[in-house]
Order: sequence, then structure tokens, then C-alpha cells
Amino acid sequence: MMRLLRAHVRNFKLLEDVELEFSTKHDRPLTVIRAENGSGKTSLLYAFQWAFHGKDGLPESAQGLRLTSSAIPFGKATTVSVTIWFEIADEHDNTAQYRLIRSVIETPTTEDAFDSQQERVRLLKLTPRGEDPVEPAEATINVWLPKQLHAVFFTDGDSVQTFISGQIGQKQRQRRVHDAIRDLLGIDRFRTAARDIEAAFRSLQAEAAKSGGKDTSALEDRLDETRSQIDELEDDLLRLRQRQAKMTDERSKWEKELRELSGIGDIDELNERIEQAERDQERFERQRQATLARMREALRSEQYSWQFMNERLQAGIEMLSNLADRHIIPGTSVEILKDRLELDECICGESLALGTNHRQHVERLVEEQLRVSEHRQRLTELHHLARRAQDEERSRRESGQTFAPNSSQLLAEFTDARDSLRNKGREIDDLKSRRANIDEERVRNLTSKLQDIDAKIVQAHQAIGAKETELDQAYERRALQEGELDDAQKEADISNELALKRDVAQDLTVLVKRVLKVLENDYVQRVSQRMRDLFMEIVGAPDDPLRPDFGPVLYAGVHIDDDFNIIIDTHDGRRLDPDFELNGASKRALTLSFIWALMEVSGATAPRMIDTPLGMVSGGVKSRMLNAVTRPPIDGLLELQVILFLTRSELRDVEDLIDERAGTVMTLSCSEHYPVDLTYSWSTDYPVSRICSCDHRHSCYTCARRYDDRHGVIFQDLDTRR
Amino acid sequence: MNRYANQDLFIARVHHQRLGGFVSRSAQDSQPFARQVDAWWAAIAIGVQYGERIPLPTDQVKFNDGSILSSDPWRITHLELLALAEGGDEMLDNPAEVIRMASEYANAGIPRLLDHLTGQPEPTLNLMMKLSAVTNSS
Repeated sequence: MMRLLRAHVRNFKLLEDVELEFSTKHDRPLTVIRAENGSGKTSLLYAFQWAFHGKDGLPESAQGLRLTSSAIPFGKATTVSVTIWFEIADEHDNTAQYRLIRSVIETPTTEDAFDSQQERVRLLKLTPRGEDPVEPAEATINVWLPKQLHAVFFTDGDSVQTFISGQIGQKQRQRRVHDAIRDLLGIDRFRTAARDIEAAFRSLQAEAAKSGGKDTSALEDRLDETRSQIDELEDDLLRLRQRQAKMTDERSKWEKELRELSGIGDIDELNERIEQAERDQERFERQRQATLARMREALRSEQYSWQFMNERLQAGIEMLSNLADRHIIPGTSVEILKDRLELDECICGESLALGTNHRQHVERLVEEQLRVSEHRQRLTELHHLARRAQDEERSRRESGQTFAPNSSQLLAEFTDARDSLRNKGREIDDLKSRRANIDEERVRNLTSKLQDIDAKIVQAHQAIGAKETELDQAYERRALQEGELDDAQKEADISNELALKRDVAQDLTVLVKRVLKVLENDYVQRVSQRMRDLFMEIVGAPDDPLRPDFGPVLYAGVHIDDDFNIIIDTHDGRRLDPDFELNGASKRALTLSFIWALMEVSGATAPRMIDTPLGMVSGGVKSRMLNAVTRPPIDGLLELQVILFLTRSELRDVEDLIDERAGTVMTLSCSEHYPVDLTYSWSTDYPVSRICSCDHRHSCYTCARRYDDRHGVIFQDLDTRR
Repeated sequence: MNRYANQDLFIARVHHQRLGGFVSRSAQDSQPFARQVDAWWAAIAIGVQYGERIPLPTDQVKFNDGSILSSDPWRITHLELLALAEGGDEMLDNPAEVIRMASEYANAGIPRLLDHLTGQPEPTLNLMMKLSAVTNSS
């Protein structure tokens, strides 16, 4: 069992100086590195691949690339180094710790070229006395972590999918599954033995043919010729397959980038932010309009009138008060005189009976008063209204509701809304221009590259098909010729001893091939069964009534058939093509189940490091998938160490499970993400990626991103930027 | 009872069209006034603030009649208090005279109002700012 303890990466791409610690706890086998797209996840994965196996360990598309940052100036020699501390436990649980250091000096010479010195690798065993060199380093590492396997152990969510999907033909998929099983299960050594025995058989057969005379010699010559043709065809086929694999690898990388740009990655986040900003903009516009409407109300209000005419209005009120003081208003004498006429008696006690002089005098007084009372009545009414209006204005003044404070408040509100609108507009412009750049330049370029490479892959696929047909015919011809030769040799006089040796070699060849087949079948069955269990657990068992993510469960099971096809069976007896008939989440579930089953059945106990395994997966499937791949081993089962690179979006809704399973969580960020995504500047004048100790629930000055608060990430006041 | 209902309201033709550009019933237009009478009243207040009355020229346009004042009855109160202050209580017996006085204040206020509005990208905002400055300085 290999278990990573810690690592130190220097000058590998943007990873200028990154130190990592890994969880080694039995009950918390998970280490999480939280990182968004473009933060350096792939570089970190490559750094580990490179440390263990050099440039040969990198994907083919990355093997010719420089390891240093493109920001390093031409002519500046830079040492790239990756140091990994790890421990190895044997079958008796005896552990020893080691330190692996791989380094190289690179000097960029032009935009595309660089000089690179010989890589240096040192493997040191840590002992109480110090560090003892282990030689040969590469070969020793290769025993603990075979080169052909590490692409399975150090991989990303997209690459693992190539076992079931991608632009490759069925035969290639079968071969890939077959190869993975063979590589992981160590059957290759057995195959080498089978080949050696077959070679011995051929040699004995040739010797027997030679001693059989001219007839058999001619047959042997023809057989040799056919065998040479087969060798050439196999070489051609190998070259074609390698070329196609390289193109497929390239394609997978571009497709991943394209999807990040235009499908599931940044573009989605950008669109979400643009939509949110546009909603904010509409809200601010409504605020602006509402403030303008209130300004209109203020301009036609009574308060406005008081504000600008106060002095003259008060003068009018003053005049009315004087009239009131002089008892000119209110004018009530007409009513009093009319009352007295009705009572036939004056207020002085004199009779106002009809026909009396006194009554006639009072009636004349009433007529006179009626002429001036309309004027007084109007003044009285105005006096009343004016006093009421004055009281109301006084009350407004006391509560600060007059025109002046209202207008100041409205102006402040309007300025706020307008400034917010402007800022939001600038933000939207910025985001849209970013989206436009993504859409118009890189996406078009990648789409065009993908179209080109798809055509080339199809051509390679056709060429491989033609070559395979040719090879099959050659195999048939060889079998026929071998039969003819055998018959001829039997007729010839071959020594008993030679014939015996030849026959034993032939029997051994058949035996070994059969054993190989049995072994492979047995392993395939075990991998198939384990894959089925994991897959059904992740997508939801058929009898599980709670299947929120997939609706009615379609899948009855999944297995690997005799031709190494991964087959999905449905309840109605159909077989689904995993490439075209599975959704993204099920594809991830299936491929992870496959490689997890491979690792468990093989007993391989290296750390499992996967970049973005939960992309395109959500809801219950996401938590079941994480649960399945991070479950601590129960006693007697293989020890486990899982290192996952997860984006914030992948971490969402599985925070509690991370709390339970992760012994270590760190965050990787890149300075280039400021100011659009990162909240704080690192004040660096060149791009760099850095790690901080923030877990999935926290952020700091290094890693805080805009909208973190929207997802409940808590900011802690830790400045780790320098 | 609105004693001014039968009185026609006029403004100078030279101001009529320009002032109309800042009047709109639609809130979406963001114009400072919903009705001509609101602009007219705003101008009266400005005229009073500056203590300036300018008789209407002969070339004038009727934009409404006094019945519109009933929609904001406080305006009749303010109009009559203004009339009292200007011409004493006898002036109230002559509604035409009261309206003439108001129109003269408006005629003095309209050019100042137009100064604050014309050529402004946000006329309402500018007017509020100018008026706010006047209130803060007084």
C-alpha cells in the first residue's frame, strides 16, 4: 500500500511554491483540494504524474510542453521540482517512509521553444539515521506504482469516461477495457510467458521443418513470409492505434476545455451572474423610476407651495387674523337678527311685532348685512381653511416632512439608484465581454479543431479496420500454412526427440493460452460484479422507491461481456449503449464504478487522485457517488486514500459528507481570477497559483470569491496572500 | 365651491410649447410634471419666491380653466391667501383679478423653471437639485 503524506511543488506551471498535506486517517481517507476551473488543478495532477514517471507519465498531448510558467522570461533558467513524501506498507503492515524528488532545469528560449536539461530523480528511504538512497529509483517506483496503471490512479473525470464513450470505435473501447483489466490485474507477465513459449515452439517447428527436407522447407519459407507479413501488419496496426490514441487524448482535452467554456463550466456561472446582474439592474431601474415619480409628486405638493410662498401665505393669514381680532369675521349678525325677528322680540327687550317701527328698522338692518355677509362668509371660510392648512404644515415641519428634507432624501435615493445602475451596467458589460470572448474566439477555435480531429479519427478508425481485416486474413493464412507444414513434417523423417520437444512446446502454448483466458474471464467476472454493485448503489437500486434523480429506474444491471464491452441492461430486456444512451451523471457513475472495481479486485493500493470527478452530477447521485468512493474500508479490506479536486459547484450539497470523510481540505486559487472572480488582489505582477488552508466552508483573503456568501461560505480574516 | 371654475387659465404663447415638452401623463417619460397646471403652479411659486410679477403678453394660450384647481383644493386656499397679501380682502371679490395676479407670477417664474429644465438629460433631477439648492440657501 502506497500512501501519500505530503508534497512540495516548485515552479511547475503556475504552481510556484505549493505545499500539500494529505489525510492518512483510516476513518477519513479523503483529502479535498477545492479549486475552480483555471486555478491549477490539471497542473497539480500533472505534477504528480511527472514526479512518479517523468514526462512519459504525462498524457501524450502534454509530453512536449514546457513545465515552467509561460510568464518566466526568455533566457531565465528555472528549476522545476516536485517532492513527494509517502509511505509503503507491506503485507505484514510494516511501513517505511520515502521521499521522492524529481527535478529539471528549463530555460525558455522563444514563445514556443525551451531548453531542458536531463531530469534528476532521487528516491530516499527515511530512517532514524537520516535518508538512504534507494537505487534504481525509477524501477523501484515502477514496482509500487506501475507506469501503465498510474493513468487510472491519477486521472480526471473526463478521461476516465473514455472507457465507455468518446469518438472511438467499439473495438477500441473493447481494447481499452481489456487493456485496463490486463494491466491492473498483472496478467501481462503471464502473456509474456505465453509468447516466450510460443517462440520456442516456432523455433522447434522451424528446426523440424529443416530436417524434414525440401518440401517442408518450401512450406516453412512461405510460413516465414506470412509471419513477417503479420509482424509488419501488427506494427502498422500498433502505430495506427497509437496515433489514434494520441488524437483521442488530444480531442478529450479540447472537448473538456470546450465544455468548461461553453457548457457546464464558466459560461454557466457567467450566464448566471449576468442574469443576476440584469435582475439587479431592473430592480435599480424600478427604484430610479419610483424616485422620479415621487419627485413629480413632491413638485406638485402642498409642501412645495408652502416652501416657496411661505412668506406671502403667512401675510395672508396675518390679515385674516386681524379681521378676526376686529370681529369683522366671523360674520354672524344676520343669523342673530333673523332669530330675533322670528321671536318678535329684540335683544334689548323691545317688541318686534309686525308693523312696528322697531321691526321695520331691524328688517332694514338684515338687508344691509346680507349684502356684506357673502364677503365675510368667504373670509371666514378662508380663515378656517388657512388655519387648518397652517396647522398641517406646522405638523409636517415638526416631523421633518416638508419639501426641503424630502427633496434631499429623494436626491440621495436617486443618486444611489443611478450609481448602482451605472455600476451594474459596467459589471454586465464586463461579464458579457468575457462571455463574448469565450464564445467568439476560443469556442470557435476549439470547435474547428474538434471537427478536424474528428475527421482524422474517423480516417484512422477506417484505416485500423482495413488493417485488422488484412491481419485476420494473414492469421487465417498462417493457421492454414502451419497445418500444411505440420502434415508435411509428419510425413517427413523427423527425429523423435525433436518431434517430442516440438509437441511439448505446442501443448504448453495451448495450455498457457487457455489458462490465460480462464484467468481473464475470472477477473472480468469479479470486476463486472463489483462494478454492477457500485453502479446500482450510486444510481439507486431498482427496488429503491426513492429515486429523485433518475425518475423510474431504467437500469436492471450492468456487466462486462466476453468481448470486453461494458453493457447496461434494462428492465425491459434492452441493452443500452453507454456512449449515447446514458446521461452525463450515469456515465460518470459507470466509469467511476468500473475503475473502482478494477482497483478493488486487483488489490492495487495506490492513492487515487481524481480531478473534477463530480462534474455534471447533482442531487442524490452526487452524494451517493461521493459516499461510494470515500467510504472508509471495513476491517480486512484494502486501505484507501482518495484525493479529489473539487470545484465549489461540485462541493455544493455534499458539505456534510465532506465533513465526515475528509481528513484534510485545502483550497487552490489563481491570481488571474482577480478582479472578476476573486474578491481580493494578491498584488502579484505575474500569474501564480497558491494554496491556502481554507476548507469547503470558509474563505480568506487568498481564496474569497464573489458570490461565496450566496452559498454560505464564511469569510475568515486570514491574510495568507504573501 | 370653486369660484374660479369659470376663469380661463393662460400662459404666454412663447412659453407654452417649451413648457409642454416637460409635461407628460406617462410616468415612464420621467418628465417633471404630469399636467400643465402643475407646471403653472410650480412657476407661480418660483415667481413668488423671487417676488416678481410680469404681465402676460397679448399673445397668450389658454391651457385650462379654473375648474382644474378643484383637483387640489389647497391651491385655492393658497391662491386666496396670496391674493389677500397682494391686494387686500377686496381682491377676493374679483376672481378674474386673482387669476390675473397668479398668471403674472407664473409668467415671471416660467423662464426660471425652463432654465432648470431645458437641455438636461434628467430634467426632473436637475430641477429638484436647483430647488433644493435654493431651499438650502434660504
